[in-house]
Amino acid sequence: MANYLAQFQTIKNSCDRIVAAVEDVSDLWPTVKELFEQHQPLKRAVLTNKTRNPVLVENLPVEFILTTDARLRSRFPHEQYLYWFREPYATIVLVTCEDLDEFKNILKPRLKLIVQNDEKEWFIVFVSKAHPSNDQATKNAKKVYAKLEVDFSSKKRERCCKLDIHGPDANFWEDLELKITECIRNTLDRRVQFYEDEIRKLTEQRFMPIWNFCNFFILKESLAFIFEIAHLHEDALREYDELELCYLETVNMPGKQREFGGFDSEDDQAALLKPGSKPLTQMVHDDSFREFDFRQYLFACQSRLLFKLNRPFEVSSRGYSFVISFAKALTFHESVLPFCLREVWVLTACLALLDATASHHNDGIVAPDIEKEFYRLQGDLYSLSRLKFMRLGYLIGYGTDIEKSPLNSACLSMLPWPKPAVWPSLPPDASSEVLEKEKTLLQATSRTKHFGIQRKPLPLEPSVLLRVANRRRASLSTGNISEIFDGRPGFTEGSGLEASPRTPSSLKVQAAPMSRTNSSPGNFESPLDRPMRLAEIFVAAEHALRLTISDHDLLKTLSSVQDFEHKYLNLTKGAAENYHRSWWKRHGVVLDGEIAAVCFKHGKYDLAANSYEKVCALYAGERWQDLLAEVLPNLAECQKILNDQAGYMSSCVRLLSLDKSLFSSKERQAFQSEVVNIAHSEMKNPVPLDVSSLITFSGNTGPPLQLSDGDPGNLSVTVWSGFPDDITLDSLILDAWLDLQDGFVHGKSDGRPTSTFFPLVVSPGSRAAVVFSISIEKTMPSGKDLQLPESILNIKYEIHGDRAAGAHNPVDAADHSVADAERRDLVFKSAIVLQRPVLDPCLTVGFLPLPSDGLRVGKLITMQWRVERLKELKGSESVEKQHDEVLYEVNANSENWMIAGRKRGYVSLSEEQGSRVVISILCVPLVAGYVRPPQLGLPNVEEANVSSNPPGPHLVCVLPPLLSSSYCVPVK
Amino acid sequence: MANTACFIIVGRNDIPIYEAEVGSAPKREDAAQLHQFILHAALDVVQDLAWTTSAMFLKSVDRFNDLVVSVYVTAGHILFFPSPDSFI
Repeated sequence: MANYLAQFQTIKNSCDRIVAAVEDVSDLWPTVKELFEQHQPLKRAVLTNKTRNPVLVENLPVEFILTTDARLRSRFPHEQYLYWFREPYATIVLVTCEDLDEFKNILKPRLKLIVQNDEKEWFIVFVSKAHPSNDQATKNAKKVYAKLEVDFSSKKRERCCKLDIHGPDANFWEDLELKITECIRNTLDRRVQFYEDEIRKLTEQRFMPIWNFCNFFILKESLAFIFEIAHLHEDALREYDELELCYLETVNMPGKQREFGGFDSEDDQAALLKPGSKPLTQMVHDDSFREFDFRQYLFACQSRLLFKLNRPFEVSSRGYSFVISFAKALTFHESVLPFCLREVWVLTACLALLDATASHHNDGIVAPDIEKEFYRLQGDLYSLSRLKFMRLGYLIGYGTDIEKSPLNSACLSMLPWPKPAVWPSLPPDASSEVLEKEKTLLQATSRTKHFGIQRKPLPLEPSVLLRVANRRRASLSTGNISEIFDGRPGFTEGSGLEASPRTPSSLKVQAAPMSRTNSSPGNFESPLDRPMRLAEIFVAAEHALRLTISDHDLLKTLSSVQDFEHKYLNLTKGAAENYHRSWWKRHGVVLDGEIAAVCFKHGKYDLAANSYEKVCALYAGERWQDLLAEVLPNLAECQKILNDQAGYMSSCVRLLSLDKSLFSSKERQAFQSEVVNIAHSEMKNPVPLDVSSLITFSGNTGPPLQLSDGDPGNLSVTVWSGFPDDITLDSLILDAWLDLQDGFVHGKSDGRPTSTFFPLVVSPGSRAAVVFSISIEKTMPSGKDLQLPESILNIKYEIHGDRAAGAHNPVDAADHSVADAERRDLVFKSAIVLQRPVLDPCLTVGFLPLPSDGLRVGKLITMQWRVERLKELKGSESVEKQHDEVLYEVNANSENWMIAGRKRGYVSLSEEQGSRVVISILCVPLVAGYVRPPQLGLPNVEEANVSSNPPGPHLVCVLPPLLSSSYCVPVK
Repeated sequence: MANTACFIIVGRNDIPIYEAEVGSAPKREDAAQLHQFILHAALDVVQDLAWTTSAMFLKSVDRFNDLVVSVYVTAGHILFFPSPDSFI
């Protein structure tokens, strides 16, 4: 079988296009060869595909070979069927003759002999050498050609065409192309039919013991190759897809233990895009192929066709799935493969796919959604290679240089360790390397986070490497393992993925006797009687990897921390860039954060800050606070180093605004002290800053508070502080003043508070008061010209910014048109209504006591006011139209009260002093709680003439409704 | 097999509005953040997928090693992420 395969592959490799045989009857080929070859390839050939549909093939190359050529002569008939793809698809018979008798007697019988083979697809090219000026010769040639057509063409099929060497030839080449195409099409149909029949026969026998996959493969690949050289790539691809399915079926067939492969040199380098990387004879094993080689070979053939079909996207897509599924197969055989071969293979496979697909991809020639998907796949491939690269780096001790970010932790801490049958041991002469490694480990100090943030670093290990490596060393006893963990009581198994049941124990047993220089790192001589230290594990892994990895470039990237970091950065950038192009902003931005970490490490703080800002903006915008809390301190640190005070202060404020549980109070105090320090440090250019999430003002809700004579005059304004510690607001708040309504004047001239509470210190739970001194204006303006109906408390604060959240929207104090609009002052305003004392009471309105059993929601009550005349209204005729009638009006909040009857009307009240009347209305309280009762007003009487009892606004208590038994659920 | 899972409800504008860690396995300290990180990234996948199907339950939209993300997308585009994983 190996011989057949070798022959098959050699023949296949020597043949790359369709062949047309030239039967040069009249020694014309040397004359016309050049002309024929100039008119190649066939521009528009209509062929038939496997489903018998016509397919237009453009630029189909055809090679012309004389029938006397050694390549066609020396074949045995049985070989023709085996390698039919190399047999001619058309036979062109080249003839010339200018004498009719010669044609009849000599040429015609010869031609009949040539074309009698039914299997040949043939046609005759009659070459006329007659010069146009030679009429006789031209006439003779025409006569012979006419006779030729009569003898060889039929109604069904035109078999002749004529080339005038000295005449116009426009139609000839078109005619020739049609005739060659027709021959190719017919031959192709016949051959495809033949192979299909053979393949069907073999497929039907595939569960029989005599069945041989290699025979099936040769037939199937021959058919695929026939399609491929006919440029029917789609059909060729289908053949390979079917071949793959069939192969996987045989691989997964129970009961047959097959060699997997993966032990040849350079097997660590994925060959999934190089079909010729290994001869078929090297892949064959018994009656089939080794899975490791053959699946890669098939993928390489498929991807070659996909590239020819101009579908690099599909190579990426199939490639990614292939890598994932192949990695699973490698996992299954991991214990017998070289150390970390799986990791190295996946890494090289991803990089090979990235290289090949990127060079075949042209922006804008595919639909946008395909392009987006393509970039997403590139991002996935970069991410996967990045992950494997990090894992390799970690195993040789570069873990201290890998950022312990959520991404890296999520990637690495869930990825099981490699599971070699025996963990690599330390080579005998490695003591200096171990020392060096130990030195590096000791020097590596974990970077403390800014603000003294204490966090347990996120893990990069799925379980403790020290334990896993030592446990996998065959010579170690359990007792020895326990030694090494003495003094580590907190040790746990971690996620336990290491104990994944995916590796069957039978494989481990099987693996033990297998020895191969680079697959059994246990061959190294080392002190086997004690557990290895971490530095020793790293050095041992490094040596083992040097044996596994055959690619010098890859080895170089792992040869030093600098090289490792360079490659790591390239992979990260590649992933980020492609995810951004695919509009997967979250994936892209997170990787930007990883780039930022490297920039930070190298002191490129501006680049780091830029990237961190993107990450923070993403998390903040979508309010994923846990994730923001992880990265925002990094941004703040960059900003501090860059002396970006505005940015730094903003970051500190944002840190303070995050959920309190995300940081300890000590950490939050550190944020605050940074804010205060900067606020006091006389910034050169004061900057806008949004502290709305930390300092919020809130006034009374509802209608303006009404104060009348004798009230204590408390207007409560809540200043809510989100700072963890006391905060002195002098650096934040400029000013507080009261704009008084008409009829009142300030005790002090400027409206400022009398007390000096500023700077105001706000601590959680504290209260403070600001006292304003006011008095009544002596000259009250007339009632209709009130300029300011209510007083307004203003608190102007210096901190600027837009507020999207909070209890109260700030009002702009400054004119927007001012050029320096960026520095807008914000003003908190709260309204308060002051009532002037009743100076000349003529009527008194008394609110009569309510029933003793109180008010209850839904219960009808009568509310009563007594109106009494204190003195005659002599000078107020203009106010009251009819002296013995008083207009009343009941005002109530309709949300709290339902009023029955008239709300407005006249009641009779004698003009005599002491006359009184009681006004009653029926009403129903609608809500429970302390609510303002309906108010009785006398619209036609000046406020200064009405004395009220109680004098100001007051509240009544409304009880909730009684429970109705019909709504009660009986308790058992 | 003991499982821990993270359940998150994501509201409009991709804002998480409810989060719960459920399961019987001893929790890894960083599990909550790990889950959040994975689920947040999975929003990229969900947003692509949600427009291509009328199905509301999108099973296994994303995998992260052994973590599987499944999503229930409501009509109002509020997403629910049950995330069973296989910490043993």
